Amino acid sequence: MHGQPPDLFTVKDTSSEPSTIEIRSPAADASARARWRALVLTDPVARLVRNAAHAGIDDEVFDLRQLALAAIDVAVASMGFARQVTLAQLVDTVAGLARLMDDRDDSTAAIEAARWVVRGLLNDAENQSKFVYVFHDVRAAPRRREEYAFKLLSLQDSPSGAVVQASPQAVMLYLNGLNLDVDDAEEALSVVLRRQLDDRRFEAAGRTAETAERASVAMAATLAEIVESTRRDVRSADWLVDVPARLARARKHVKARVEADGEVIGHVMSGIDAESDAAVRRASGDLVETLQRIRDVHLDLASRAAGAREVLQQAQLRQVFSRPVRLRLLNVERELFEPILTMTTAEAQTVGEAFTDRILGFRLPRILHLGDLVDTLLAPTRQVAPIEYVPEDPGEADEADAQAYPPEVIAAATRILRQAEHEPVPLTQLVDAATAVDPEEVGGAVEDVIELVTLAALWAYAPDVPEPGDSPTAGIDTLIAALAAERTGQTIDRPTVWGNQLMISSTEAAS
Amino acid sequence: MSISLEDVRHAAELVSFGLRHGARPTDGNPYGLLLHRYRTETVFRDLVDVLASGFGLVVLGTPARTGIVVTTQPGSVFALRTSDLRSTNMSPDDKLVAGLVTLAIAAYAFPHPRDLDSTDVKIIEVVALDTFIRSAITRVAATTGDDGNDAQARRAADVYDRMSAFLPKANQAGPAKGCTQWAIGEVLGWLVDRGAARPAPTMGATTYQLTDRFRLLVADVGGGEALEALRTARRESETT
Repeated sequence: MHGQPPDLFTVKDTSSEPSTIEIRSPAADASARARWRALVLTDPVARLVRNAAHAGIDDEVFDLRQLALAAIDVAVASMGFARQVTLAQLVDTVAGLARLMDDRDDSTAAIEAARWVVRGLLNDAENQSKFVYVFHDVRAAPRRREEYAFKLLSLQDSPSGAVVQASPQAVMLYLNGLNLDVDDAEEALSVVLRRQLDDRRFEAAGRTAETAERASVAMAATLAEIVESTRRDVRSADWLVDVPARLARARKHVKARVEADGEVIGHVMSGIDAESDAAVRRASGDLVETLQRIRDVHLDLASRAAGAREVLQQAQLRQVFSRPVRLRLLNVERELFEPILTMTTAEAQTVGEAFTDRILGFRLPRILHLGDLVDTLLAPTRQVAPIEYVPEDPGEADEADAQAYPPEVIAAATRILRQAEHEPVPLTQLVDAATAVDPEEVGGAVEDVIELVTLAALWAYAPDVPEPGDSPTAGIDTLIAALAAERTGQTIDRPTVWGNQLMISSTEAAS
Repeated sequence: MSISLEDVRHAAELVSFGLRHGARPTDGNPYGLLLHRYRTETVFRDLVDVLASGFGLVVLGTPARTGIVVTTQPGSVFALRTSDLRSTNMSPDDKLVAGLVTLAIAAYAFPHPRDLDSTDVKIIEVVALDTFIRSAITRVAATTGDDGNDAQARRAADVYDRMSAFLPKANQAGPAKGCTQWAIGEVLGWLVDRGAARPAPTMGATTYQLTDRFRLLVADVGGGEALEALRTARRESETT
């Protein structure tokens, strides 16, 4: 249906279908009746709390459950003595406790509350008869219903009036059964573990044991934290009450756990030998390993607990003469930050600077040595010397140019190039003529002659335009300047020269 | 046990290490050895404390990772004022914002009183801190119902609230001067300079890690003096 939350209890009726999964605990079945009885023993108290409003008792003002516990405590405390507590004394005592709960200091209301509680425990609504509850034993065949009747308090006649007695059930449950640390998660895990072992659910027991291990590790970590903070500051932990209690709890825990784990290990080990199912044997073996590892955790915790006191003594010795720590555990946001936001700017600046100046720590003052100061003041002004640039030495101008051609090469090349003064000559012819030069004539530099002739032809083909003012040079330069070259469309192919064939001619001859 | 001149010199060395924000003790270096001696030898510890006291310094603690943490006594030559910091020419509003930011860092990092006694690492991120301050301003304004229109009685919260959270720089990334994110970065820069914080770039470009030095300074002196200043201001405002 749209717009309405789903009804969580609207589920498919599967009661007619055969059950595929059966999760039952034989150990739980065995103790179900006993646990049910313990549960119903608390019902009279729940009932008197539930009905208190009808009698004008304010459950918000009076903690009726605690008053009920006090009534049973007082009744039990007087049992066995020559003078047992009377009904009037019991009501007065409970009323005294109730008055402490009521800020109005209304003694009438307190007495009414005490009476209501005692009446409830006596089952006064049913003429102080026994409380009767019915247990449905569905495990029996055939199924049957059992009545369970009990009293919590009863009245007995005595010379001093009606005296109050607590029943065995009240003693067992309210004094003994409820005297446990229901918030002890590790003990709870231990109980679960024992139950799983009784049910032969070894894999589940292994997981539970690992959870129990984590609880032990947490306890060891807490202890380590206390020890570390004590090393830092002996006053960071309460060594008068809290830490000794923790250490005692840890020692007790270790003792109990080592014994219990040893018992479980023995139990499982003995089962392994007799077990024929391989899966169960494997799970049992894993569980034993887990429990042995957990035992190491417990022993580690024991050593931490044993060494903690020594840490305290060493820390005390070390810190006794030290400056008192002024650690101020303030709530910065509530006590400083929010108030300063609402202050005027001038006031806020004062507070902010007071905080900031201290947070920023310190500065290191610059201290100038007197001698250094005098030296500094008397030191002559520093002269900045100009940077001397050393000009690059061009070298001797009279030296022969390393890249220049020798005169005999120039002479040979000039002679060859002059062939073009009279008629156009192909470059091939000039190169061949250069190649045919007598090596002795040019000092063996025949290749230089070829190169010079080739360069001259190329220069004639693509001459550099002389800059205005450049004076014409004599010799080969003048000769080359008078040459012209054109591509013939053919190619030249010599070992040192190849490419387009050029026809070299003299411009002076043409003109 | 007698004290030798060598011991005095070592004590002075340890104090000088405390005055160097960049010095870090390790197991084997001279700083680490002196620190270990301070933590294990009562006589040497007393000697260092007395020596520091003579300089107008107080040893706040010796966290293993940070080293010896010293602060100044009132009137010490080492005492630092806000005016000594790198941001010169701060206007009154700038100083106020800086004070607010410093307090906000402490409030943000240590939400519970017990946090001041814990050595857990605290991480500060610029934008997150700015958001924290602005939400606190909104909360406080809703609680007090003060609209802050009176110019004479302008609240500190208004100064911060009216400032832009972010102004872009002209040519590069990051907040420009004049916005609150720049102010937060500036204060965190101070703390880095003083060894009270470290950049934590792996956690983000504008993320910083507060050191034990910061925690000790807040819990030991900063909180107390600010509370005293707060009480004085309140007393004065009540009498006027």
